Amino acid sequence: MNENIKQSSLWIIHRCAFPIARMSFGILLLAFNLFLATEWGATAVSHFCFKGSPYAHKVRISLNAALGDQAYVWDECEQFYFQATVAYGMRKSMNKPFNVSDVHICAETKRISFYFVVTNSSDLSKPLPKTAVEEAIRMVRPRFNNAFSLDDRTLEFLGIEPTLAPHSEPSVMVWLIVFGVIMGLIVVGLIAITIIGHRDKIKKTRASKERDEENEDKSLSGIENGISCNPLDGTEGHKNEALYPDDKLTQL
Amino acid sequence: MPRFSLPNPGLEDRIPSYEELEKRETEEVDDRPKWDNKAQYMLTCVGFCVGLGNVWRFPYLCQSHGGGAFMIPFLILLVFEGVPLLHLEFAIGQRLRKGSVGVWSSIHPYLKGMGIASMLVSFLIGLYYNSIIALVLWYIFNSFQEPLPWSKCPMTANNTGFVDECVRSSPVDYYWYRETLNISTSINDSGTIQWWLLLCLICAWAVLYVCTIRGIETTGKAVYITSTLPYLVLTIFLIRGLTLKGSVDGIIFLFTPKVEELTNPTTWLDAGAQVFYSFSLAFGGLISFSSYNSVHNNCERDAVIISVINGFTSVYAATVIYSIIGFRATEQFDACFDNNILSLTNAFDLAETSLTRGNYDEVLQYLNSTSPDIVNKLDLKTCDLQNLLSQGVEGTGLAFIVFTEAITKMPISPLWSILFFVMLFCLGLSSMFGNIEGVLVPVEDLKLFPKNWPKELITGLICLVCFFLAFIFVINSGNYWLALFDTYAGSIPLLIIAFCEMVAVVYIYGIDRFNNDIEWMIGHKPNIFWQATWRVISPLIMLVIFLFYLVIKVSEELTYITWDPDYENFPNLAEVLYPGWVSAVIVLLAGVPSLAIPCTALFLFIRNRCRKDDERGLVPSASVASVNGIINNEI
Repeated sequence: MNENIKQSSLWIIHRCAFPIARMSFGILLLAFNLFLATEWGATAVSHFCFKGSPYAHKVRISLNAALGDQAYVWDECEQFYFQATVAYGMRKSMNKPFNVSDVHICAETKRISFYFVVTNSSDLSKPLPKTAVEEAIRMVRPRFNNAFSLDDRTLEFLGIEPTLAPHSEPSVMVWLIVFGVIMGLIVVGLIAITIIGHRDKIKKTRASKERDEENEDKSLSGIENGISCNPLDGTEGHKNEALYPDDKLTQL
Repeated sequence: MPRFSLPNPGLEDRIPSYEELEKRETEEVDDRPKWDNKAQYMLTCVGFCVGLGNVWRFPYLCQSHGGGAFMIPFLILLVFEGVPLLHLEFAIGQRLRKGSVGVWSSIHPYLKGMGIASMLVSFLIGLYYNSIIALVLWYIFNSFQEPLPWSKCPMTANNTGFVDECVRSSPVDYYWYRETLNISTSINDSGTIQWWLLLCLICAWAVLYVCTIRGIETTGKAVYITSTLPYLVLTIFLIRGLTLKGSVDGIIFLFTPKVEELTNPTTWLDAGAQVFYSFSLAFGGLISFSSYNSVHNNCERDAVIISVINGFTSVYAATVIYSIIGFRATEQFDACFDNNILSLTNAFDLAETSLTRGNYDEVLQYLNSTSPDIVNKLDLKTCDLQNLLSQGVEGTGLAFIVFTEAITKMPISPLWSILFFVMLFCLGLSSMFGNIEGVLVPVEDLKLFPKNWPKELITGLICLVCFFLAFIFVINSGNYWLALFDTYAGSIPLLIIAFCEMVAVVYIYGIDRFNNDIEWMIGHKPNIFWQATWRVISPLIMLVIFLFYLVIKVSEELTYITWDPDYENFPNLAEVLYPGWVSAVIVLLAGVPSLAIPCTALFLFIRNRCRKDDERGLVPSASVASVNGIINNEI
């Protein structure tokens, strides 16, 4: 009977315990490996994503300056959106299937500024050089700004200067048009004044000529030896008192 | 009080008698031009007196000489210097009914030089004044666009960045010195004529010609607009200015009195000079304008009214200008402060809203104590509002740099720019009317042109000659020439002429005769105030100002300020010595009008002596009409 129990327990151990132990050991080993892998991955990223890294770009966001009261809160979702937009930019510029997980963000501050690094999708340990990222960002900069309702000034990529919009030179210089209008008015004014003055002068000479003629008529009609005498037609005659004696006057 | 007067034989023959004047008045036989109504006369005189100086010289003087305290010397000298001289010029013009040459020749033939001096000064000042109006026109033409061309820097040829000269100074500075004046680095560097300024100069002289083509007939109509529009625009700007942030700070700063400035003699000197130049005395224009009046016009009341209006306009314009300057200074202060806050926030990565103006000082102190090296590297500027307000500017700098910058920060800037520069244009044009009058009437009196030439032609010729001479102000170094003329062409000769005017009227014409004239003209004798000021106080003030001015001008070094991109303190203006030949120009500008007075007197004296020697046998006599030996004045 003792031998039977010994044999059956050995059989149980052979059949059940060992596989269980092996499985658990395997699970433990897998877990340990995974743990090591992420730890190693994280340290790998932290190798090249830090302040001053030759692969990292600094981003500075001024939400209050741009939106004032309507500023949204910068949380993880916004960060995810940012990563997605960078990935979109990389895809557009390099035509390779980048993912959100390829964009790594670190060194976040309360300013809302952080550094980001883009790694190659196939190999986590190889960060992309700065120039490639710069090119991608420049290409999609307007879309980037619009995505966050910001502009070149409030969404800053330090090191990537915004290209200045060229000034639109007006085809005809505006001031020449205004100058032409005013000179035209002046010339019109000059002509008007000259014409009015000429007309007034003619009127005046005509009026004065008529007045002169009137004066001449009046004066010529009764001058003899420089002594003007009034013609008798227009005047009443004076009664000569001597010819018609008045009894009242000469009473002897 | 001295009552002597110098012997003046033959005065009665040279001046029209009272009966003669009454006859002319009632019968209107005079073909002399006349004002359509009193308003035209007043508006023309106000326009002549109120000019660009009221807007850009008085506010600067007020602010730099003790603010509200400056009003005291200004008002005192206005009453004791400005009003008496003004009354004198009005009265003598109205009485003798001639322009400046005619009036002084009537008083004594040897004094013709005074009229010639007035004419020369009016001519020289008119030359450069109209060039300033051309610059104002340039800004008007360029104000019809949004955004204004002086609001941002232009880009380099390949669009990589902004022009360096502009970045180092400011867009308004760059626009004024480079795109408008295209200024050279020294007065020696003449350069070429700037075609765009030439076009503006053509426009300026053309407008002036159209307005003065028939003398006061045309200017009398033009002044309805040019004299009233500035007041309207100033009021609009005042209302607009008071709604802007920081404007009240500017006004308070302007009028805060610093009584200790009153002990500084320069304050009184500047106040006296400002009163004198602001009244446009000794130009001859006011005498002319007054001579077109009816002979019984109340010139005393006119003088007082115009003086009051002139003083009031100066103070009003200063208020408006400083409300806008206060706004600009506050904007600069805010920008400076915000810049500092931004630098700190970015350097230390603080949250955006954590650093405000309220806690700025404490936070800065804290940061300075913890990490001073970073703070030092940031190069934070100290922002001081009082300092920004006291950066007083005058002259063209105020209008074309400071004010234009303030305008770019106001919403709907093209509108404000157009309004402001149209106001400056009207102020300058109405002053030019007086200048041209001061040149034209003496030219006619001196009979320099044949009598049958129409007035329009003579006016056109004078405008044309001035236009060609003004080419010197549109070359690269034109602005330096402008400053030269501004400083030396008007200052000394005017003081001399004004002093001579007072002496001539009081002592050569005779104060008694003058008093009787005024009694006949306006109905009552001038009271003790006028007697005291005409005889003693005003000539004394003129003499003191003249001597001080002479001493200061002669003893100071002849320097001028230049715009030099290679200067180490650029964008500050570099002070440079004038080259030697400029002294000769200065002597010409100031000396020729001043010396015209004694030289003409000497010339006429010598000519008279020669004539007397030659024609000893002949006795001059006037022929008298007689009939049969009976002299009958009625023929």
